[in-house]
Amino acid sequence: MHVVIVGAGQAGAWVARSLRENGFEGEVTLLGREASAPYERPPLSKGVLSGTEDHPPVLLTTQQCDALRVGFRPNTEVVSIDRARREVRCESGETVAYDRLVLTTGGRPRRLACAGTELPGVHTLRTIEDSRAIATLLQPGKRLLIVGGGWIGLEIAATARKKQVDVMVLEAGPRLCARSVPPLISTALQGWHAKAGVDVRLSATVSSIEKGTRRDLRASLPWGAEEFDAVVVGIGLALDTGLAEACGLEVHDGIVVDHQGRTSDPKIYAAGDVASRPCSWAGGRLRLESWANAQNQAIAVGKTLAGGEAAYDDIPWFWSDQYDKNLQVLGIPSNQLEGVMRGSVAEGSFTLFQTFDGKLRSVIAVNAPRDIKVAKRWLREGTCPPAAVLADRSVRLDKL
Amino acid sequence: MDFGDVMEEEWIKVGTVADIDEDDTHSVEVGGKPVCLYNLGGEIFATDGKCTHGDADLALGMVVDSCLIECPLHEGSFDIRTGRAVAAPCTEDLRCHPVKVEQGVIYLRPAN
Repeated sequence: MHVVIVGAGQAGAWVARSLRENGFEGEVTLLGREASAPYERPPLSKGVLSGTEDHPPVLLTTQQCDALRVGFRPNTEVVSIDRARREVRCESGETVAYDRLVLTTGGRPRRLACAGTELPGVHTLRTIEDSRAIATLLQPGKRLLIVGGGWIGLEIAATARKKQVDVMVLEAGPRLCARSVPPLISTALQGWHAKAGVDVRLSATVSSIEKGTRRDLRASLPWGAEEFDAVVVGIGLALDTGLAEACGLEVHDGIVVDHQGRTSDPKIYAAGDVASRPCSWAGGRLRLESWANAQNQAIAVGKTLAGGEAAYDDIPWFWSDQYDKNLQVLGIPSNQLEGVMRGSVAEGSFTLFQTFDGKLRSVIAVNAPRDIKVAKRWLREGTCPPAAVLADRSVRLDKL
Repeated sequence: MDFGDVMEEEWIKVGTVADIDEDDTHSVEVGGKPVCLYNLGGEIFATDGKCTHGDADLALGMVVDSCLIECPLHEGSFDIRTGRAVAAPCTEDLRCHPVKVEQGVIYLRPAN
């Protein structure tokens, strides 16, 4: 039995690890587009970008690949899948036969649809090379335009401010991170960035970028042109579903998989950012771009392929670190649900519990990681203490 | 807090049992490095304070199943008694430090 994994990021590496941890004895081949061994991406917008971390955590070192008998091949771009012959073709023309195929292809940063995005100094952030290239630009007095007020953009903004870079964040929507958090949290985020000196502009887009005169780049903004030393575009992920689509797998906002990660072809699996999975917490399908999802869905796929029983249905969970704030989101927040606040935005540490019909639905915690752990247990058990208890900071929630 | 109070040889006074609730953590510094103390059903344990996976303060994590510390950032976990990494993403074991309790005072001998 030969398992071939296409895509050597967080999900791909964990499929390989999990296969071995669950006793898989066959051959494992991991094909990666990047030059590096698989690594974790979260530090790319934080520690690696600021220079406090030399390299993000490596998921499979050369020694680990040897010990786990994982045939890892970097710089390998897969260009097509032949389902009838059960083989993948690489850019080099070489083919690799599989018994089971796992697609952990993730995606690439979405490009800005305007003139000038190919100019030097216009960046996106997905790889370690991207992070290092942006890092060299983060020097005191430089001026940075960040296009996109989502998590990546805001984390880069926070890191850049630490480096005394002058930062403007441009968000096309009316508030920050609107897709994933309710307005109260968007307002809190905006407050932290404003306090740190970031110029946050909402409902604003860039219409073109060209070479500047005083600084390298000139951006056309709704109120006129402004010059910057660099532009970083963080407007989302363009999924790498091309291989799956071309070979006829079911794709609908991601590669459609079941609880075990199986696609519409039972010999092909998918996991991570690129996979759309059933999620009871979302009441339907969910595709998540998060570190935890990439790791844990991949672990379930590895276990399944090793002959074990796994049914991945984790509660959606992600976090972001900006300045001295650690923000964690559990479940799927809604703009409509009732909320109970524990602590306050002004105190710098709070937890927002959202409930529906007396049941907990989502939790957003800032500098209160323990509340997330406790709430995860309540979510699983379908319980929730009364609002008055949740709001009372003198009560230790983990002792309830 | 100042814990420069050396009792004998390399045993260092790091706090008192009363500082730590049952099944809870307590963060101290020993030789400039963070150490996490635990009270498991009345018994005291000590490990490095920083997760072996990422830059996370284990004292902010939660004690689960009476013997595991779950990292507050990524939910990896370690066995507090042995330091063994038991859940992803943690793969490197956590260093434990010997402790002893005399008259309610906790003494720690830093492990190499």
